[in-house]
Amino acid sequence: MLIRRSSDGRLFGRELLLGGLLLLAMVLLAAFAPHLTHFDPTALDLEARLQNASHLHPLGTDALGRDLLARVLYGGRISLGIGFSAALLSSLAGALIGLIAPLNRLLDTLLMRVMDGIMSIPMMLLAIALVAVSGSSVQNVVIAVAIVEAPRIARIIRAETLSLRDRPFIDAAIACGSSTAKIIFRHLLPGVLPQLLVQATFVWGGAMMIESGLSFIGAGTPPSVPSWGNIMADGKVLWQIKPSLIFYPAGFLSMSLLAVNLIAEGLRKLLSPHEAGGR
Amino acid sequence: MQRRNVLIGLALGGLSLAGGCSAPSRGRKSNELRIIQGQNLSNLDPIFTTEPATRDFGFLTYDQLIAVDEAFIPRPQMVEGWSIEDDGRSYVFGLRPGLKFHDGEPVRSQDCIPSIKRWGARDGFGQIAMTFISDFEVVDDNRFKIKLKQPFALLPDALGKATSSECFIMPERFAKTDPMKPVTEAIGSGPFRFLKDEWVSGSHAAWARFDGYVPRKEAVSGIAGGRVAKVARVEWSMITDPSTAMAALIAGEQDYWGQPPADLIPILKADPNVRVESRSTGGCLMLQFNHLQPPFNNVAVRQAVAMAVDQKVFMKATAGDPAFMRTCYGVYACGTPYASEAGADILKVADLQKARAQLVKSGYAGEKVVLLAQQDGLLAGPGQVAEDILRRMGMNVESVVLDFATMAQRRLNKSPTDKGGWSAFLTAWSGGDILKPAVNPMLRGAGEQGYPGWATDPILESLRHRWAASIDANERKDLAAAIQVQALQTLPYVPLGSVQRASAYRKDLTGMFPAPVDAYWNIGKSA
Amino acid sequence: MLGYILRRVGLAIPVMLVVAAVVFSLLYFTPGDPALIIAGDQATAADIAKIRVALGLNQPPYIRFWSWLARIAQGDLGLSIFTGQSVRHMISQRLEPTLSLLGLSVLISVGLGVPFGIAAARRKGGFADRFLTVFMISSLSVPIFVTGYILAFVFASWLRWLPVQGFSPVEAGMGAYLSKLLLPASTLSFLYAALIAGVTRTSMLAVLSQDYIRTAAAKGAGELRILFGHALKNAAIPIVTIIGSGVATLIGGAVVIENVFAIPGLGRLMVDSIMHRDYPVIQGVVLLSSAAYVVVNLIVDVSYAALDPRIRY
Repeated sequence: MLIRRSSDGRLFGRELLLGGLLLLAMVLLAAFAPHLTHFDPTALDLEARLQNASHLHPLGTDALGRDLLARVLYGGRISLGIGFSAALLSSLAGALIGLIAPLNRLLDTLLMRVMDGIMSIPMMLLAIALVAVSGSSVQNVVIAVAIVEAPRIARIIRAETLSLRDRPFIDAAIACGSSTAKIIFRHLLPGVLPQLLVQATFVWGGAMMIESGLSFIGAGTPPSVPSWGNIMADGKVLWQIKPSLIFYPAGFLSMSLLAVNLIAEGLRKLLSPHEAGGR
Repeated sequence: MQRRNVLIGLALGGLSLAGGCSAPSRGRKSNELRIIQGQNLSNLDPIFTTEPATRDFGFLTYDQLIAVDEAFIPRPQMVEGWSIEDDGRSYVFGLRPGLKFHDGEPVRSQDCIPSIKRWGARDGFGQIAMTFISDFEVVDDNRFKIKLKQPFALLPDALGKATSSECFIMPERFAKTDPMKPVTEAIGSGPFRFLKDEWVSGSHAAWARFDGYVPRKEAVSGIAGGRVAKVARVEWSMITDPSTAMAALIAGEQDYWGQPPADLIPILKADPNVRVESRSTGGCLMLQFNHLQPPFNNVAVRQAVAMAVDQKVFMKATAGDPAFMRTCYGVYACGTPYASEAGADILKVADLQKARAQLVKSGYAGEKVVLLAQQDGLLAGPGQVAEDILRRMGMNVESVVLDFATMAQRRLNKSPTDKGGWSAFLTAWSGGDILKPAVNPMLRGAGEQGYPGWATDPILESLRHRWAASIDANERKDLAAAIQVQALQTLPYVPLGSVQRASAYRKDLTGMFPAPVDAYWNIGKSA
Repeated sequence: MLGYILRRVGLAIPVMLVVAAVVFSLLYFTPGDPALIIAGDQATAADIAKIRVALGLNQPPYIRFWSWLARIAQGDLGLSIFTGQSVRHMISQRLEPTLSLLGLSVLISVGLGVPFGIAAARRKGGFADRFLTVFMISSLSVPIFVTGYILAFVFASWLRWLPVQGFSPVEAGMGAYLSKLLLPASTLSFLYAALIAGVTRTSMLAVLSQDYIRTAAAKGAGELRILFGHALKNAAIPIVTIIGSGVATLIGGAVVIENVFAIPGLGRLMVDSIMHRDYPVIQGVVLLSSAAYVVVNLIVDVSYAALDPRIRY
């Protein structure tokens, strides 16, 4: 059902499969972190600094003797978690704005101008500024990224809403006397859901990218909370003598980004196959 | 297609040609000293702040009346010498001829006296000196007199100290600035002239040789001796990413790196063009408390922290060569005349259980501890260890990671932690900074007049004063020990051990000399 | 045409107002007291009270916003809390490196991305097409600073072809200027060029399947003429759009890259200002970058009219 052949014989839906499996692997690794390693990712052990991969430390240790595998696995929880939460939050906000904006001309202009304004601020800069003023914590990073990504979703959902509004089933609902709220949540929302899902998945990837950049420059999660970006920031001093400190978290991050982007791409193709360049 | 491929090929060829051509030109700059600065130069007033970047700026741009040599004995620098009259109650200083400021004006007594006064208002040793000084008197443009209430043998040591804040001589109009407000101009009489319009805070700074400077004839020793500018230009680049800095030094784009991270030393040592050696006697790490705010306004809580600290763990976190690290259970730099372990039992406890018990006894009620830590550099690892220890003791810790310049500003804030204040920070002082009670800025009990932390300890202060007033070396030794015992009971701060730092520089630099600070005179480049 | 331009400019003004409002309100997200922050840690209670009046903190928000806006319009971006210098001066010192970096990145990205996209579209499933897919996926998945470190290691440390870090102004010589910018600009281009190439391919594919292209081919037009003379012009709008909107990604990437390659630009200023909690500087940089981005998009909008005579709304 998910995988089918298109008219010119190419496998359709393979991105979804590949991406889905990869993401599942990442999520499972993060979720089962306590079972995969008995180390505490924040436990310092100065005797065991910068060790190479061994039985005890499958990926070695970092500059403060912390087990790298533990840090990468628990860091996955944070990075994937921040990505997911930010995607969820921005989708909710964006969907809400996108769904109610078309209700009223003035409301629409107002909301869209604000969205345009926020979109005019380069994402990274806005995220940095938001975290700078509110302080470095997982919560604030999630909120900052959500604020930065929401306007794009809002625009897209609004466009979808506008096109759905003209469909006969909405006219029918109005004729039946459904309230506005009911029309929005019972009829329009399911209609925009596919597009929302696609965008939310893209945002998951974008959020993880932004978080890693923020943590790298020191404006992300606090040092006591390992995230992939954070671990790379710690390792950047020594990367010429121990590149694994950057490459393992970078590898995991890249795999996750790849997975999420593949899924998003696959969903997009699934939901609008006619846009895929004539295939 | 073919045409496009040819174009691309040509473009790539051109680029690599351009790259190849510029490679030699980025190497050598034979009359310029290019220095990698780890810390931002944000403040131009070495009297106002003790930040190392500003201190190094001070040594390039300004000059001192007296300077201490390798053995920390004061020697004349801007003065020809001094004579002591009136049974030690009066010092007469005579300036060397030909001393000029960068704006061409001659240096006169009328510039020196306000400079000394301003320095005496801010610096620890200066403040001690001022308590002994009764009056200043201008004898003529080149000579002035300092009158004392009682004999103070350490006056030249104070005026010639190598550690922040040094007594730099500024032109009269700047020296008269309120000591609580920073001087923003940079007109000094030092061997190099600060190029203010090239200064981009956070990025780079530059100096040009000052041709009007008259260096002394003696050889360099410590910071004393002839301060000859052997290059025409000095340039600082603020490179915060250590791997980039290392690559730049190895590639020949930079010449000198004062404080490379210890982990990178092996790579630097292995490079055929780079020399790694220690110029100074090493740094002592310390954990400073905020004595004005809870929880560290309670001596029992401070004692609990001292009991939790294991110096060996902190030393390891600085990631250095073990040969360069040593535990130092005292407030004076180990290996210096006053070093001892008097009263140091509390520093050797290193037991988390006992520390926790002490914390409970102290009545700690979960007050928030804001720890100012650093992201890069020597103190980064120890900062993480400190946070870890405080947390495992059971304290409610928030670690704020900053660069040194920001931390230096933030630590001036006396408010509670929920209003931007702080509870503790880590810092390091070089051995020369803390070998005597007078120079150790953190060994104070002067409350809000003292160094950030504002410990109030009248007993400590009076012991310090007696030490300074003493004219008997043995008596001074006993008093110094008494000061240490007192300090380790009231704990203005906790010593965390000492670490030798190595500097890395290109082998074509000449004239490198051991000094307690990064002094850049006498250093040139071989052709 | 002029009317169209004026209308687009007019639409940009409310957008800039929103940007200004967002930037202004940043200061009020902070947990601390803005007056205390600006006064600095040495200030007395009297000083703080004076600053509160000077900032108009005792007045209602909309008046504060208005007077702040008025000052910005006159070019007064305030004073840096950390250095005490004027924010405008600090920004102007850092402008050349960042603009050079961004400019070179745009040149490289467009110069490589567009031809690449065209080559990919030319033969669906061919080498260029598949390579582009891989390139796009990897650029979206690899964090930009990792790319930067890898490039720096290969070309600067190992091969020694290019300098590791720093910036050399144009006056000091073109050779040094370009060679120092090449690595950082290439790193930035990784992402940007992939975006441009991808959109170029998609857009070209859509256009190439049109009837008029087949007609032109049937009439005997050569391949170059078809691609550049007919197809590219019609495919241009999405391409120009992505070039414009990708600038935001470039600016974001520049913040990270300037740190890796020690370029004294606005990105580094931004990062330093976070640590210093130097809000006036943060506000100034965000405001300026957004204004630049709005202008870029304005230019893109105007170019639509030039590219497609049907667009005149």
